[in-house]
Amino acid sequence: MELMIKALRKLRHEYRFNGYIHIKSIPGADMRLVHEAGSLADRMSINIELPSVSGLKLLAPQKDPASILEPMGYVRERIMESRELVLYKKPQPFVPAGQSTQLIVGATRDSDLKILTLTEHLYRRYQLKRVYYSAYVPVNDDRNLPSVNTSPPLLREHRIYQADWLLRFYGFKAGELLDEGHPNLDTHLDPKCDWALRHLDQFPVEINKAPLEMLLRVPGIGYRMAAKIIRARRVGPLGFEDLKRMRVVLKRARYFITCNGRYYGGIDLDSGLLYQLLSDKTDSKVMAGQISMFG
Amino acid sequence: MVYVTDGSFEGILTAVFEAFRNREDPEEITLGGDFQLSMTAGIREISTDTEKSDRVWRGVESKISKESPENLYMAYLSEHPRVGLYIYRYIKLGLNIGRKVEGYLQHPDVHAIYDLSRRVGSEAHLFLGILRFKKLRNGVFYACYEPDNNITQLITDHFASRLSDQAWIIHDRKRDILALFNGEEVIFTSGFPGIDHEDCEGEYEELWKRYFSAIAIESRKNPRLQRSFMPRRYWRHLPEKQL
Repeated sequence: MELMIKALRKLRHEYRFNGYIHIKSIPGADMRLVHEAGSLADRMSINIELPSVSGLKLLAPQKDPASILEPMGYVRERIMESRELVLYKKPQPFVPAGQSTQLIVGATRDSDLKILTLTEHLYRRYQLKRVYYSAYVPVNDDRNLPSVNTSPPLLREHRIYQADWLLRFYGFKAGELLDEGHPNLDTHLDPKCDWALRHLDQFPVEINKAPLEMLLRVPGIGYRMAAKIIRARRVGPLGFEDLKRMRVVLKRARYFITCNGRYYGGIDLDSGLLYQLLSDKTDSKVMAGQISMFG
Repeated sequence: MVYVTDGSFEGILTAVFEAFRNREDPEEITLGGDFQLSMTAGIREISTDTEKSDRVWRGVESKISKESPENLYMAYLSEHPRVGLYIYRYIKLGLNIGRKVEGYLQHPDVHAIYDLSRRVGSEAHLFLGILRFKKLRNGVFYACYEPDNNITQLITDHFASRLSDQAWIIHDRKRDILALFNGEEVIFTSGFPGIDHEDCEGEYEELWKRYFSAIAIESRKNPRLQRSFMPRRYWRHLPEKQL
């Protein structure tokens, strides 16, 4: 840690480098070092890597969770302090770009639910800017690790990122996406579609009247599009063609919305067809035949 | 009626002025150069007049919104063949309904401007990351690119402050536009044929290519995803994409 800080000091003071610097702090480092690093860097990370205490005990028994979480809490407090405006005192920036961390996906048996609950806790309690997820890439052979032949769980990593976005931008809670009975994210459906299919009683929503929170839950409507819809409907009502022009992903959204009362999905929401229609492995030609039966 | 302009932003605004003054609704506002002649349309040549274009700009600023003229200019940088007409229609609508026009995204005239302006902004943002400089033997840094939109003026400020102590050249080869930075200010010019390979120092380019392939993680390779961040049409000027 001291060497990293030495490098940081050189960059800032000797070479006058004012660009973005992201430093990875080492668990267990002295708080004074953490403090100095935070005064020089833009972003600081402490990588948690293993999503559970049992995982940590198994794979990195020499580390203890406190050595990771304590500096995170310390940095959070210093950040909050540095953001308060004190009269007559020049503000000293401290980690202005916030903290982040990383979790490894697939090295242990931890479920997606475990990972997402931890993520939620990290965002709330430590106000992290980002949690990153990294699919486990086997390098070593060890009886506690997945076999060297396993390929990295890239799809799982992708689904977790999709869920992370839902937590940060779409107002979802981890408990809404997963629970003990269903602790892992669906492979064929993205988490938002999956939630929608399990809550069909909340659909279809009327585009011209639904509150922002509900618009955000419509598959095919992103957070930027939801904001556009709200701006646009203040000026005039939105029809299906209008949504098309605004580039809503109607391929998904049409099953979940009405425009001025009209439903353009062409199917019965109870029919159970939706899973096929929305799933990532759909053969669209086959499905087209099935849709026409419902007119 | 087809309005023919010289293709400049002021020219388009002058055309807008004329359209209002003549109480005409042009069916086309060309950006100079070639245009299709319809059998029935008349042609009106617009000579650019900065007094008229200024009046339109200020009118848009005050009667529509302070941000609108800039949105219109961003859309203009797309060089889309119909942007002149879109600008006219947007202004006409905006003068009718006022500041609401900015939120009126379902309207085709509003969405046209919004979409073009967004594309221009996105491409400029992208190039802040993928513009590549070569060091010439005389110490000047040279970057060549062929953007879809005319974005050079949008990225010079960033590079002037990021590379503030280096002399650099940004060259839009498609449009023959050069931005030159001497450490103090940016100057725009044209008429540069390009550089020869011998003029460059190849060492860092080699290092960069090696770095690029060395940090790749085999099991995470995803060519489709890479192409969506770095579209294939830009690869010509990315050293890391030259095998």
